[in-house]
Amino acid sequence: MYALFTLLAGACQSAMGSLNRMLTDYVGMFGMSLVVHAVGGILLILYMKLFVREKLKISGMPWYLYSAGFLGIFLVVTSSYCIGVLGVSVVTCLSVTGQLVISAVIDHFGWFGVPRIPFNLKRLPCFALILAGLIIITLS
Amino acid sequence: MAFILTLAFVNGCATVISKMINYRCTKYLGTNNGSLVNYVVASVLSFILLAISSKFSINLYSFSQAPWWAYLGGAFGIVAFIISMITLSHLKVMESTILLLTGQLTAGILFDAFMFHNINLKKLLGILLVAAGIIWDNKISHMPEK
Repeated sequence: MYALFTLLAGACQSAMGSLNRMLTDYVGMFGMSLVVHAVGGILLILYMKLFVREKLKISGMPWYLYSAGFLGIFLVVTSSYCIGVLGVSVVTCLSVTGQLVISAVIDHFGWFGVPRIPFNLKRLPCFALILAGLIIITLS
Repeated sequence: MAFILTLAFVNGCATVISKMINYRCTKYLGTNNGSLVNYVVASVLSFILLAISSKFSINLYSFSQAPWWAYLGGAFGIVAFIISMITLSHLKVMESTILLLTGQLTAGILFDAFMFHNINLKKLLGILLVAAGIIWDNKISHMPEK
């Protein structure tokens, strides 16, 4: 049951990408980003108030952690832009590959204070397979 | 073309950085409030950027022109967020990563085929290879050390 819902969560992310792409055509990228974050924020507040009855609190963090919002805009704007050219599935492939590569680099060098985990060479064939897939996509 | 491909890749890198920052936010404020910060700051910043980029005359008419369902992107995002928060504690990280990816790609391929009409057999083959590589890598990364 949890597995089914997790699949559904993945599908929702793709739906979000497609819809954001369409909204961008009407209201531009910053208009889209405003709508997406405002709608998401209002629904999250409703969820917190009605279902988990949690107190709202957004102050009391070091200032630099507030930059998460800036990255949030970057993420929806770039994904909407790329989806317009490449399609949802190809952007998902590239984005997840980016996640794997940067995670491996961060772990290997221990950036941002994470515990150092040296790169496991057994992962190389997987990266080769991913690269082969990306090359086929690019050539198609 | 190379630019767009790189940008989509950088999008993935930024996703990880954003998740790391978000994780630290949740240490201060809890899971839900830690994510809410992101939405509040991003809404305010987007509004400022929209105002500046439109030279302080936001075209409200364009907002009324968009079909109502185009506004549901943020709603789908929140549904995905809440589901993964609830299911994460009941599944192994590897399982949930693979399930999320499978759901994302299956839906993505369907949207590409029926809404954007930009899918072909070769592309599909490439996507399946990438997915196989990611799932394989996940299995290796989460193998217990001997």
